[in-house]
Amino acid sequence: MKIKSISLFILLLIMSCSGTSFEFNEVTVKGGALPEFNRGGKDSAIGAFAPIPTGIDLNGNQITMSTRVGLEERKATVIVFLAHWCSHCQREVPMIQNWINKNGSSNNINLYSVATYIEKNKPNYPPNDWLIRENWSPSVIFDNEENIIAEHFGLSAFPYWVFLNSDGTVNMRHSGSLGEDKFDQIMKAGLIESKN
Amino acid sequence: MFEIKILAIISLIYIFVLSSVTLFNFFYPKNIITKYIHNKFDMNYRSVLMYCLILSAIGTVSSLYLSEIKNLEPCKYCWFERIFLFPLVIVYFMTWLKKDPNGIIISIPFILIGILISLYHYTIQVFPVEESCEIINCSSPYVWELGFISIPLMAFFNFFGLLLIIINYKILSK
Repeated sequence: MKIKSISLFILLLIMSCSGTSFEFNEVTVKGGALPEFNRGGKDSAIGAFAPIPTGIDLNGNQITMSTRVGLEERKATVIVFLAHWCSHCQREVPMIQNWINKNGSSNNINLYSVATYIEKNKPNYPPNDWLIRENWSPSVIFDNEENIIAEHFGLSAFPYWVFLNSDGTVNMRHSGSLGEDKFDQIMKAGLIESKN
Repeated sequence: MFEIKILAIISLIYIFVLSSVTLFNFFYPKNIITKYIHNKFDMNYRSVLMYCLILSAIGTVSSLYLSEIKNLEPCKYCWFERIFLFPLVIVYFMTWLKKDPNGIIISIPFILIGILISLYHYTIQVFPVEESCEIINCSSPYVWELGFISIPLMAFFNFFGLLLIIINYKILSK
C-alpha cells in the first residue's frame, strides 16, 4: 500500500515536471518600428508603413507577414498578437477559429497571428501546443526571446490587433478582446476596404 | 500544471463535503453523520485548533509553492489574502501549544476578511473590468481549472473551510 502511494506520488511529480518544450527561432524584421500603442490617445501609427517580420510558423516553415501575397496580388491584413498565458487571448483564439470555421478563410484579407512574450514559467506553455489544441488555422509566427516583433508593432497589452491596408500601411490598432460581433464587423469592413 | 488541477479538485471535493456536513449538522443536529463525526473526530477546542492549523498550513504551503516553485507572481489581492492566511498558522499553532481556546475567536476576523477579499478577487476575475492583459502585471487568472476554479477561489475555499470547521465545532459542542 505504501509502495503504491509512493509510486503514485512519483508518477504525479514526473507528470507535473514533464511537458513539451519550445525552442526560439531566429526572427528578422524589415522596416522601422511603430510607436507604442496608447489606448486612450490618437494613434500616430495610422498611415505609417508596418514592419515586415520573418520567422518560423507552427510547422517549422519560414513565413513572412506581408500584405503582398504573390507578385501581383496585395491584400489587407489583420494581425493578432497572442500570449499563451493571457486568459483574454485564450478566449479570443477559439472565438476567431469559430469565425473562420463559420465564414471560411477570406480571399481578400490575410489573417496572421504572432505568438509573443513566450515564457516557460507562465501558464499554458508552450504556445505551439496550445494553438494545435485549438486547431488554430491562421498563419502564426513565433516571436523571439526579445519579443522583437511585438516591440516593432508597438504592442502594449494582449490580445493586440493591427489592421493593415492593402498597401501595407496601418489602418487601425487595438488592444484587448474584440468579441465575436466586433471581429465580424471589422473583418467585413476590412474586406470592403481591400476591394476599393 | 497537473498538480494545480489535483489541488483544485481536492479543494472542491473537500469544501463540498464539509458544507454538506455543516448543513446537516445545522438542520438535523442528531443525524447519523453528526454521530459518526462525534465518534471518529474529537470536536473539543484543541482538536479544532489542530484541524484549523492543518488546513491553514496546507493553504500557506500551497500559496508558497505556486509563487516560489511555479513562479506565479502573486498580484495585489493575492498578497492581501496571504496577509490574512499566513498568520493563522502561527495563531493556531501557538494557541494549540498553549491550550488556549481563544485561538478560535482570534482567527475569526482573519477568516472573515480573507473570505471577503478572496470573493472580491474572484468576482473581478469572473467579470473582468479590463478587456486586456497587461504585459507586466496581468489581472487575469493564472489558473482556471475545470472552467471556474482559480487561485482566489481556492483561497476562498481555504478560508471558508476554516469557518465551517469552527461552525461545526460550535454546533457540535452545544
